[in-house]
Amino acid sequence: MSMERYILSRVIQIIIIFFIVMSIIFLLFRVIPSDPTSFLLTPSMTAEAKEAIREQFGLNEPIITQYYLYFKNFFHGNFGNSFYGGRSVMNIIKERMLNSIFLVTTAVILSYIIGITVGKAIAWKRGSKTEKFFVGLGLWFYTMFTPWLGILFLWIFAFKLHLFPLGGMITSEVWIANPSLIEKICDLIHHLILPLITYVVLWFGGYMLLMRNSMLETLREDYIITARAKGLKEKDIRDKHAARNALLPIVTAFAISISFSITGAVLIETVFSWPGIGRTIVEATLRQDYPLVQGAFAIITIVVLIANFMADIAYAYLDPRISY
Amino acid sequence: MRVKKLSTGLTLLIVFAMLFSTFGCISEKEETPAPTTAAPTTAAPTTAAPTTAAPKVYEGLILPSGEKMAPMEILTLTPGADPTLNQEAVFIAEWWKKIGIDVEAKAMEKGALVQKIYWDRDFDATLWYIGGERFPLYLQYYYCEDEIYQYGWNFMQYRNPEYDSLSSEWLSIFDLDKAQERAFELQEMLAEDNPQIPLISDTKLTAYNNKKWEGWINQYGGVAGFDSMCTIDPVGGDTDNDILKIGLLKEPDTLNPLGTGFTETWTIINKIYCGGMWNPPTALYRYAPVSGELIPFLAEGDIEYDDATNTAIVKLKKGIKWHDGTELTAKDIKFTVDLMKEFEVPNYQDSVGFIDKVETIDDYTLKYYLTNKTVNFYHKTMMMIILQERKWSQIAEGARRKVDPTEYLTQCQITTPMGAGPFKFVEWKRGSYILLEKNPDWFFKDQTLPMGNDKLKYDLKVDKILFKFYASSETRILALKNGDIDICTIPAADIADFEADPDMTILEWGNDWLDFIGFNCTKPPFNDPAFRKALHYLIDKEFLVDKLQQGYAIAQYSVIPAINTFWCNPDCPTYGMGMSMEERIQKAIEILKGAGYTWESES
Repeated sequence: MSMERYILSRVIQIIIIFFIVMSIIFLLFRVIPSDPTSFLLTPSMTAEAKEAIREQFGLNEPIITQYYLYFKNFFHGNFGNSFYGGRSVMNIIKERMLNSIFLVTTAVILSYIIGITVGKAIAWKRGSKTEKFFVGLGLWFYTMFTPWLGILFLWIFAFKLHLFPLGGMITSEVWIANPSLIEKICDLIHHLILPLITYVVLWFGGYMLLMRNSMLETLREDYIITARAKGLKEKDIRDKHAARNALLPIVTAFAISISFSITGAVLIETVFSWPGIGRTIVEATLRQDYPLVQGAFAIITIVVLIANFMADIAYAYLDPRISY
Repeated sequence: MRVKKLSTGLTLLIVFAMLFSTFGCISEKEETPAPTTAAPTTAAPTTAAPTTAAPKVYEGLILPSGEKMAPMEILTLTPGADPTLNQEAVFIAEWWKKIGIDVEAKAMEKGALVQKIYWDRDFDATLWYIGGERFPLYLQYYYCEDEIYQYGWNFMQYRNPEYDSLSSEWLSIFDLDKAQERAFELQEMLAEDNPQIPLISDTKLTAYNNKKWEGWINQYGGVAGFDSMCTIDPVGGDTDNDILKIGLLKEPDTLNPLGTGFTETWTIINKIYCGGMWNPPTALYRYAPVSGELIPFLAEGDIEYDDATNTAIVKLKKGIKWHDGTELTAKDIKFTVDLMKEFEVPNYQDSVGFIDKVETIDDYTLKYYLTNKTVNFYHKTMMMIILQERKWSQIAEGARRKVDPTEYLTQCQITTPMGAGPFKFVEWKRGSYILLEKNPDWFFKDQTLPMGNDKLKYDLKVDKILFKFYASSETRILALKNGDIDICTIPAADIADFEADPDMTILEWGNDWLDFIGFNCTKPPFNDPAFRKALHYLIDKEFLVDKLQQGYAIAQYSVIPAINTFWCNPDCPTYGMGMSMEERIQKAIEILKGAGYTWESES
């Protein structure tokens, strides 16, 4: 199969998967035994008023009509308004997703860099105490309960040592006093550091182990022996020959991680009061705010499917051994 | 090789054992305290001598109709959503088991729970909460026949025509003493019939940083209320930039006063707007601080009500300015009433439903024409939101052209709220904070209201209010300790911590909400008042107060929370108070036997 045919079949696959996922999301909300208007009704309303609210949210229409409107609105780029306050879903998602990307994408890139650096170093030193130590450390943090570590860091570094703020994305007192751009950026970074460190400490282990495994496979290859025989420096063999080839599976894993970074990291966002999309989706789900959750999931689905697709194509270009 | 296989096998075995034990634990039902079962006595039945004779064990309650009672469930919220309600349900289920009822407490998610009890009415009993309104209108709408429809408030489906007529008459009694008398009578009727069993009303704790602000007022509804914010003084002298910092757990949904009924949102926007929902502190008339008496605020003098024609004349004070400098006149008030009627705004239907029309006699006088006499006029219409005609007439114009005008009006995104309150809106940084600043031209600045024997001066020493959003209550408490916020409510568990801190002062206040058990009064045996009364005896409210809430609660025998001192009837029958569990069981059995209930086995 040639590249063109492969791309075409993948695109069709993506479209089908997209429709299936969107339908599942739609059905899930209609099937839960719960009613979003239950949060909005107050004792002041009459029977007619309550009925009117249900009309307003389109909950009285037959399911087929709702389903049709759901997709029709989606293709017009109209995700509707949130049930909680009537704000446009697109605006909410844009805002929150940017906040999440700021934190989580940075964290993913940082864990990636640390992970592969440490991974390739310890794979090279196979069997040594350093390797055992880092593998143990990576696994220990990787399996740790996220909120526990987050609250621990908050308590030590923010509450006891007063080095960092107690959460949130900005310091309100700074931002209400007409700060300069530099002050704003410094404040944002100040708030970013603690959740970023928490995230990286928890997740670097994954990349590290992946890189180590990949390296160990590459080290068995014949060209490593050739490189050594040629008299190249150890460091060059490790970095330019082994690591570069070992990176291939990491690249695909990275592409997918980056795409998932737009879903935010709910636990970290909650512990650090970070106004991100992950937390927003959870809160919206608990309030049965259908439009917001549907819109968010739709965007996440699209981004992840496309990122996956790109990763596949990139892989084919990176590794000439692979052909479709 | 063999050793390797053996060790691998052992490891796998251990792993499986661990998994099994974990999943085994989950499949068991929620652990409840084991009920004390007494040793069965001999053939001769024991008479009343609880200290010496071993108590009987009753099993398998049989209804007067002859059939055995079906297993029942008490529906309530999950421990994560509300641990108090959940725990109360668990204990109550254990107590009810003692008279041979098969009962379990069942936790559900809030939306699903509301659907089941309010919409589907498919339940036996539920543990829920009520309150929040200073004038307890729920005393009427929670129990009347008219509210037994799909979204109605009478989910218990209690039918009592005598109660209906007495309670709707109560709504037209303007004389406070007579109204109170009637309200007490109504509460006694409910206490006799027990369609719901009031349980407890918890006592809340608020801690504030006494190095930042002083002069907080502890009154109905809490400490960090409107009156406090307008009158507190900064410790250490008044500057031009005294910022009051409040921590919130829930970001408001909107600044549009027509579209929101959330109490959290109103605690912010009631500083900006005049009038609104949830006991507004700046309306034509308001409840006086602490005493709760109805006094004029934006209005001048008393309402002149003519019983014969059901008309009311209300006078407005002169010189009240909107935040943009224009004057608030009777035109704005008439405009608002007309707007609510035209667009049938859901949240204000009970404020204008009985108003035929309103006229402006002059710029400061209004005449209301009512269709019937009702106290809602005082407690709803006179406390309604007041919108600026200049701003809202444009929005209304736009709304009239839409497919759903009401939706447009109530969901319209207001980015510059126009009010006449003591604080102006400055900025809402989504996800982080809302900033309000002082309105130096507020009409009531530096004026006083009576509070007990004192006077309260609204001198607005607070220059700015900063509402910060926190994702969890633990972080918010850390922020209070750190000085990031100035005041917040704390759980009883943290009280020792805060008492030890000299910078913190703690105030206690009674919650204006109470927990209750509501029965489905159409389903046997819950339709039998004797059955409900017997169940009421079995509930040890003192236990709930002392052990569950560590003493931070009040046992409730009336359906109105005790903190509402004017309306709560202190003389409601106190079923089971002071009785031991054996005495309670005996009393309950006595009532049930008298009503024709029997048991499969009593030993």
